[in-house]
Amino acid sequence: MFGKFHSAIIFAGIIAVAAMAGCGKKADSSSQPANPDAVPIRIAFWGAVEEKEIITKTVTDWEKNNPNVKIVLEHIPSGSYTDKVLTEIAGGNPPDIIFCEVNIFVTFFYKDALLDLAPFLAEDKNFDIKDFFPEVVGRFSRDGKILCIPRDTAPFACIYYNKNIFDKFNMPYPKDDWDMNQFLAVSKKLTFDENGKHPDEEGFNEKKIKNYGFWGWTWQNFVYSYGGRVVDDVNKPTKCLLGEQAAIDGVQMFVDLSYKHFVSPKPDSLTNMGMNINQLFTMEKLAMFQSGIWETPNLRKIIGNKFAWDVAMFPKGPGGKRGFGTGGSGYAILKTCKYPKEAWEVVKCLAGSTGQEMLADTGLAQPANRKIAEGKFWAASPKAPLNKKMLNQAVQYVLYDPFHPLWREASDKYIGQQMDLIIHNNIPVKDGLEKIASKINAILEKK
Amino acid sequence: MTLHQMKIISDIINKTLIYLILSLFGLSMIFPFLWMLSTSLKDPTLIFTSSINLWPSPIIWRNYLEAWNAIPFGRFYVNSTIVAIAVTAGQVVTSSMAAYAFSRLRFPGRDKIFFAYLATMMIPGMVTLIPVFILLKTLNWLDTYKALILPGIFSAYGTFMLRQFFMTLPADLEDAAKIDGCSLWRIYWQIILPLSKPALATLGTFTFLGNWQSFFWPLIVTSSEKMKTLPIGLSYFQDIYTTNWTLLMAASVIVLAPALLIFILNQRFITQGIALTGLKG
Amino acid sequence: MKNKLSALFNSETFIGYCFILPNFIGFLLFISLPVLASFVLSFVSWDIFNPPQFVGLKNFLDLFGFHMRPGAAFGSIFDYILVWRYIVPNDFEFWYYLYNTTFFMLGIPLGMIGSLLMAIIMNRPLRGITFFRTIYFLPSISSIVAIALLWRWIYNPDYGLLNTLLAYMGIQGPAWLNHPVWARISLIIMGLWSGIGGYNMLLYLAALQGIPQHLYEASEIDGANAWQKFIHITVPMLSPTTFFIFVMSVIGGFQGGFQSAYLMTRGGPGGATTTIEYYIYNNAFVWFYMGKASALAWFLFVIIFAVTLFNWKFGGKKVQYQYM
Repeated sequence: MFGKFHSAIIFAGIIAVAAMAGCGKKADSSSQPANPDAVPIRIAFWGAVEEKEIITKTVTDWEKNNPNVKIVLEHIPSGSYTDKVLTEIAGGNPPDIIFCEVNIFVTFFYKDALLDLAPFLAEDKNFDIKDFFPEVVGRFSRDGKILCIPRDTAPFACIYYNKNIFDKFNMPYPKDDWDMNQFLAVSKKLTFDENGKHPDEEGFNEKKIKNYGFWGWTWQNFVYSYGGRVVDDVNKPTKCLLGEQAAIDGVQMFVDLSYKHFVSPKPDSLTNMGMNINQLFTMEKLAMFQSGIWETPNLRKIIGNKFAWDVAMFPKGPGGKRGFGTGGSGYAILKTCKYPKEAWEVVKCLAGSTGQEMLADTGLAQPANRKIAEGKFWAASPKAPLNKKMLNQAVQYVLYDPFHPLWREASDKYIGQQMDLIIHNNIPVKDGLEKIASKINAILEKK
Repeated sequence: MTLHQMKIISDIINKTLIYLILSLFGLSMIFPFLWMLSTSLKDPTLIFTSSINLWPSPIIWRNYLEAWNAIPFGRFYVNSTIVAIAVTAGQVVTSSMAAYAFSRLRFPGRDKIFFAYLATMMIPGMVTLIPVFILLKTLNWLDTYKALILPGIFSAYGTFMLRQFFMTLPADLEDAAKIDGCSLWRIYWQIILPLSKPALATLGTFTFLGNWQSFFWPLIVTSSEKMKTLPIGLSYFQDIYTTNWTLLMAASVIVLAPALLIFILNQRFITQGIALTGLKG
Repeated sequence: MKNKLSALFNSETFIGYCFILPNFIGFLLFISLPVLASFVLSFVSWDIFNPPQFVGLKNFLDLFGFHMRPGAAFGSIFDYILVWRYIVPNDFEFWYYLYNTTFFMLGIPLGMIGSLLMAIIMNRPLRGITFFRTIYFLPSISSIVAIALLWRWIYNPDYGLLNTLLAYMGIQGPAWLNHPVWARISLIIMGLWSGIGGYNMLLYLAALQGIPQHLYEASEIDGANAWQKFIHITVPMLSPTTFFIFVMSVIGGFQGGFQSAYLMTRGGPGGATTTIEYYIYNNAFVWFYMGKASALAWFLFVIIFAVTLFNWKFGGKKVQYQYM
């Protein structure tokens, strides 16, 4: 009646039923004896392995000294963070504390989802918002409210460079106050083809380039260095300025690096995934690349002791101007939180020194807390890259994405793809930028 | 040279040609896997070198230990296994039952209901995500095995696939049994199912593998570390900015191993061969 | 009375319903309810944080809105015939991505033929054939990151495998992933490669095992050669499987294309490899237009339904079943 085959199915079915009936209890992440009066606070956080450990440790240590709060940690991989949090909010199961990235913050602000933390800050004598970089705090403040406690900031101002290659060509290392012309000259010297010829030299074969001088993904920095802007006022944008001459010059320089000066490889795609770029850099086929400080832990691992490397600040424009796009994140409490007072205490723990110092040490993120950023775990840290302290100066030049409810959509739809075409040299820079500007202006006027 | 000898030679040439083509093309097939293995055993500084070097030297077995300890692998393994087995069993049973009805029984509305099943596969899953989530929350199944298993047991894909297969079985199969007074259930259980082993094994494999690798659904319905599955664990090694290559590849190999095993098992099921001889005589 | 009940319980109708019952409960609970909910959602505007607002058919009508191309005007009657030269859809992205999605589906027939051929080869009782089957199945379970790495190297315009090979033959290879049309073709090729030893091949393999040997033996007695055996026995006997694979590939093809495109080209250049799936995702989870996302999904559903119905009626006739 029952063959082996049939038995297998029945056995599997029994496992299934047992699993669902018996082991279906909700999991309990705290190992402490349950305090029935403990207030539950749920933190939705992201972070790869090391970051996760640091946050978990910080929080569980704090919990031991604060038995009136029971913390539930919910880890979400950063790539799907917003998807999951949104689903939970839509489904009526929202977390209490979230990590808010600086651009997603704008959307949350306009949906009125975040709790104003200014009253807590006013009362609390132990926590001083002035400890943080004012630019970052400024981003998270609006109409007198402060909606996020800054966590980290990530100006796109890092030019990573390979010291060995510079040594080989007897070039001095880049200085933080260098400008575009010097930068271009250096890049050309460090680019060579299979016969060792540099661009601008007789006999240079642009189809057989062996080593590149530079690669970068942030066209915004170039626009800012040439004195251009994306919009007229980041906080109250009314006009898109990408069609102006300064912006055009900036983007033109960016495109020329690949197609006119041949110091940059042709772009594979508009991405900072860095898979190809890290490869090229560690294979010593790329002398410099622009990115943010988050590349550090990975670079430390895959470069090891192969060669010495460091960072320099992104070059100024020919007119001496500079500006950087930036990333970053902060801690926010959702308005749906039932216990705001306790949530505030948890936020203070997360933003407190111990956790932030450990994070700074991994090199992954520049702390938004000035004191720690200038302290021994960051600025004075002996770990590569040594010059990361220049980022503390860089923060004053950061320019965020415009503060507008439709910016995300406009940027995804119009800027992203048009820029792709511009960068692949499929359309002229001026035409592409003017098209972007007109589309964005149409959206800015709608509001 | 006799005809027989010529046939043998042409056979050998035939076979060699096939082996040759298969091997050449097969090199590209196995390459990503070899890269995974090789990277998982390398020192991080040796991953990206000028020449593609598949042989790791020195071989760092420690990567596997590190990867295993970095995330609650044991727990994730248990969860993934339980869920995959349960969903596979459930799907094979419910799909084969439904497929049997849709293919060999007659009842009013049969084809219309079947097409409705099919139609449900035509809605992109993304927009039903939030309604299903709300449903699961209302039932209080969030973060439990129920949420991971039960929604997966129903499968239009499996039903459709088995229906097609059942329809290829000869009509006279059941006639003999009916004459003997077999109930429809017994026909299903003792005749149709055993004859469909390759199809059932294939569906089982597909379901198991699909479930084993499923990332987004478990991500959405689980929150606590105790309930998460292996693909979610893998994503821990990859941040939006950084990728821990050696550990990620080591972890990927650990996750891939059972999938490979299931596939090999499936092969044994299939190659047992089922020539439907002897039915007519 | 007892006899009537017994007759009822034993009737084919009742038993038929019983057999589909377990499946049907799942269908009702986990599929129909959410699907109905998403249908309702397509008539509202909902940004997740605020309560939904009814907007009627707006989400759907917006898809069909259009405006005049800047600088164009209808002059003569002929202009109305060549209307697409003068108007631009309002929701340009939607139609462009729909076009991309359909373009990607061109690979389906090729993939099916490839899988069939592979299954025939893999069905031979050669020694070590299981080893080969496993190898060819590896891309279906290998890490997609590793696969993307391999193919990015193959497609690299400067030092990749393809362009190096082409250079030996004196041909200047295209910029593959950087070119709007070649990028799509590149992804199609990559999809064919990973699928050739994968699920579809397994299906064909299982189906091949079910073809009775005596059919081939009988034909050999009649003097049939390999090609004739293939055309007159193998293909018809496999038609139910072929039909299944085709219908499922079309349904899946309309709804997919996100993951590999994202890893290889981030959807570029200029959106050339972005599919509808990504657009729906963006609308729902990035721009917070849940209502519009549902409308998009349902519009896509109508298209898929129509195409599948066509396949069913047209292709269904060609399928040969043993039973019915």
